Amino acid sequence: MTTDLKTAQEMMAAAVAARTAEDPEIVSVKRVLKLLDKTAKSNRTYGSSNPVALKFTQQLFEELTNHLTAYSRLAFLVQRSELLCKDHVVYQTEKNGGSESLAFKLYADGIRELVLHEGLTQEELSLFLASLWSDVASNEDDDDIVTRLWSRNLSTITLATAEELSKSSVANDGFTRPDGSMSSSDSTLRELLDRERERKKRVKEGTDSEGSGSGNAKNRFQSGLAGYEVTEEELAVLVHDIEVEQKQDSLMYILDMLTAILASEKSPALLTKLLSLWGTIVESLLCEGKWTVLENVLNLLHETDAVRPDLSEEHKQQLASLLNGLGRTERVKMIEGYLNRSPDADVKGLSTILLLLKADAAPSLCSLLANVTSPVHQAIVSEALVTLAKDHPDPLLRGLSDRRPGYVRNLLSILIKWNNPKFADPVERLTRYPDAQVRREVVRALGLFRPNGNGTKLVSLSTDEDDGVRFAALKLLMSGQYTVPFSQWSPLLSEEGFMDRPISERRAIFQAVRATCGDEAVPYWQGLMTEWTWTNRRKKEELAVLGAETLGKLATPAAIAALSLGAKKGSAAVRQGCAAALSQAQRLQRSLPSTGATH
Amino acid sequence: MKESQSQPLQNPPSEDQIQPLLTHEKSLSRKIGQGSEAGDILDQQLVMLGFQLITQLNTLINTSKIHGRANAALDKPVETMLTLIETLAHDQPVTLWVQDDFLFLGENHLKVTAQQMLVVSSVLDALKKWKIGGLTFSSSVSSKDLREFAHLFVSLDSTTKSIEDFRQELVNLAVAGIELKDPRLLNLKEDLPENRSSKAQHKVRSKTAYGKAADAVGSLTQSSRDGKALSFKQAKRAIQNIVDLMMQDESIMLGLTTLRCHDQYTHNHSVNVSLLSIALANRAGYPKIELADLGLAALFHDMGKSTIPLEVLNKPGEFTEDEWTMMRNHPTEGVLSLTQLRGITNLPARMAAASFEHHMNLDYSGYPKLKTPWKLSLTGRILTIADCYDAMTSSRVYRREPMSPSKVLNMMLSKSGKSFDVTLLKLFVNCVGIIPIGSLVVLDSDAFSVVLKPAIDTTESERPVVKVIADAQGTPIDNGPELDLTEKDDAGEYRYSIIRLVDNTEHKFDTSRYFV
Repeated sequence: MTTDLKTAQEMMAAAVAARTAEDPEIVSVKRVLKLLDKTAKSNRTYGSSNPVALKFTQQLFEELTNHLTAYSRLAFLVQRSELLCKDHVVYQTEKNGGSESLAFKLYADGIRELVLHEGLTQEELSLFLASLWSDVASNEDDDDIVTRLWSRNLSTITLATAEELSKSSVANDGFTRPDGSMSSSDSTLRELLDRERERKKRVKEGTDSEGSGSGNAKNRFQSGLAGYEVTEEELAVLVHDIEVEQKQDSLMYILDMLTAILASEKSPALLTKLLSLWGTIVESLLCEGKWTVLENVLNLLHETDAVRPDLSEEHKQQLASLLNGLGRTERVKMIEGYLNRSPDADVKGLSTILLLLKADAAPSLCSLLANVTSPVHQAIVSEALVTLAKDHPDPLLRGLSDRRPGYVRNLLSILIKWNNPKFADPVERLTRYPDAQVRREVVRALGLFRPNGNGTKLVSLSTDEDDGVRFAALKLLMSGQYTVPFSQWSPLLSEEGFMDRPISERRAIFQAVRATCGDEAVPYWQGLMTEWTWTNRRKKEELAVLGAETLGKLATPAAIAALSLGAKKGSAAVRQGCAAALSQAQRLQRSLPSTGATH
Repeated sequence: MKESQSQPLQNPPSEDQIQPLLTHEKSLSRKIGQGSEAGDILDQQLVMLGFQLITQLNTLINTSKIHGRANAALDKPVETMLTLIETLAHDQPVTLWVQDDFLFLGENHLKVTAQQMLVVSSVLDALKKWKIGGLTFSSSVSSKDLREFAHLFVSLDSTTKSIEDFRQELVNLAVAGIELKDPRLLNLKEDLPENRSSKAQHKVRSKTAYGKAADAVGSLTQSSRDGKALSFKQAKRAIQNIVDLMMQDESIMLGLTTLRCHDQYTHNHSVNVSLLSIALANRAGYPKIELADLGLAALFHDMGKSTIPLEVLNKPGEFTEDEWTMMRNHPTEGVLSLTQLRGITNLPARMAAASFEHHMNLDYSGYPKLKTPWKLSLTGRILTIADCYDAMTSSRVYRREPMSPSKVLNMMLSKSGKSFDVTLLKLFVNCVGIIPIGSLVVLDSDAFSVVLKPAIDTTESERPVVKVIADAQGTPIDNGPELDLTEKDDAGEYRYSIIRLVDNTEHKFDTSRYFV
């Protein structure tokens, strides 16, 4: 009894010890799988060329190599949320790990066993990691881990699927219903053998002309064919053909095939289907940004009439509708989808495709311009719109009210390129657009569309909150090409903060006033020079000096009269300013004796 | 749990709403609507039905935890399960197996998506708790059977009762349509008999791969008819498997092409053409990965036939001119359908070539006729040979009587350089043998034999490996010996030689039984 108890205690102690000192192989497997999980996830999230992912991959490779060197292989069984090695759980799905879990990923594709063998190279490891999830190029519906790994032909990785490991009999294998006209039954065999026996009997009796005797070498079957030697040269030709086939561009090959069908097919039903298919092809090429290929396809379709004059009216209409429908909204949307998915993709040929669109595609192109994010793409679309929408600018003008400043700026650039004065009115409506850059473009556009005449709208921009806008507007107003009633300036000049504006700006405003109002503004400056006040005295004096300076540049008789008055009645500083301005005015008058005034 | 609790469920379990029963599968709904038999239902559809069954089973079990067996809340899952079982178990009972964590419907593994995992986990855990390895439903299963089963499942205590007790309770309640299976575990790969290089096991695996490929063709043909997108995953797996098996033993795989199935001619023909193409391409020097691509392309070379009405394809008499036109259009039709359903940027060139060129002939004497210059691809040249060979040896093609393999080969050889590429045809003959696989021959011992595989040495091409099927007296022999006719006796003479070919097709005798 005592012995039994002692034995039991010893066994228990051994079991506890065994549990605490875990098998080093299991420890190693756990470590590798944890790292594998981390690496796979980082590869998937950041891409395999990301520095973090590369670091994990390198670390995994080192750990895995160490493990394989020590144990020659790393094998595990797959459960829905666990991986097992020698009955130990070596990996467990994190809570809410879901479909991102390594275990589930393998389980979902029906993999039961996976073994990594010694000798696994870094390249093979990378291919293995790439096989765990489909890459962008491959179709998820066509592949899973099993097919991807097979295609990579990795000798150091083997797997077994649950299906092949299950105790399958061969049910539902497609062998169940032999051809009704043929039979493999015993009775049919019996009949065959009986008939052959009869035949043999007839041969013996000499009544069968075919004749054959058993055991006679001379009667041996001879086909006259000695098997076929295939020469090295013949094989070399085949190898070459295989290489050519491997290298061929699938897309171009199939396009060639469809072109051949288009040139040759007589069946109306097939032609209808083919012409409808071309529509789908155009869309596929649009979706995948294959612009140069699409250009070729469109050229081909344009030439179809000449190649196939025998096409029925119905097919001709189908073709015309295909070509006319290139600019359909949903198709332009496809272009947008591709461009925004691939901001750095090659855009060679895109301009040509856009220029192949008809003018009625302008609204869709405007939408495209509004939605593409890359400036390069925006420039291409803008260029196309410059050509296509020139005679149908309405969609662009409507677009000016859009809230996206980038889009509106692009539209303004197009309008500026067209340089048509009729766009001045719609552009003027943007003087209060929230985005300053748009407003700057508006000033630029207005300067172009309306280079002279009434400058009232520009005056409103000269109060803009943005310096750039204000100065651009003032610059135009200072050009002397615009007229503005002084009443339009008054609110600005009399506003409370006017005196607080930088002197350079006040000077520019006065010059603009001078250029647009001329003598009409003289009383205002005269007032400044002769005004006597105790409040803001210094600032007002400064303003009066600026006014004197402006009047000096105006140099009209009225201006000179005002300056003379200022020179008498003004403060010391004003008097000094007026004197200087008067001499400038006189110089100007002398240099322009015939014009009389300088506007 | 009590009968009195039987009230309609106000909020049915959410998993019940994951997919409306069968409504997302047009072709399947149609089939079931027309009273289809289980044999018509293809692998992928089976998988889908399997999930419907699991979902409803889960609903039934969960609902039974709240409501009594007669409660109307059980009506919907019960009725749905009955419909599913009636469809699946039409010919023979259907079993939902659980092996380790993997679910199988019959022999078909049910792949699980992340969305399905919640329901699947619930069912797996419930069955594991009872240590149930599977549930077999027979077509005679009744509403009462399902209700009683579910009631027992949730009311018996699995910690104190065994699966045997459960079975006994089912017997006591006269539940005859449901059988509980003992648990079974997946083998480890190293424990599988296949690894002992057993020829029989290799054959089994080959047959399974063949069946999977045929199912994939069926499934994709149906998708094509329905205008649905074509996914190649299932077909790819099958073909990759076939390439592996072919690399191990070409003759077993090629032997399978001798089978002629009436109902599934198109599917089996497609698989046969694929097998023959892979074998020929292998000899031509294709790398392994490319073999799978070619095999996949070959599998769908007749996709254009999916647009031909079944009544025309299966017409017992001669075709009318219109019907012939339809048949002649199928290569072009195939290209158009494949391009439409896969998208031009996602269609392998080989697949387009296989469909377009397989009737074109080397000298362009076939169809479609083109008005522009066209270079026949290597794929097309291979397919032309494989397709012609399988079609001519079959009785189903265009209402002709089948021809024996050797006659077909002779006919093809007479067109070498015209219809067929000379080098490829030579390789093909070496592949299937001058006396092709499946040919019936008489030996100089008067024994009847079937050719199993060609001789390795082409100088001894008239000396294939054969299997004796009847002795000199004409008595059939089951499992007769396999003879290598290149073997010589001590005197240096061949032990056995062929003295005559027998045209098995004249006798309507199908030699496939010796391969399948």
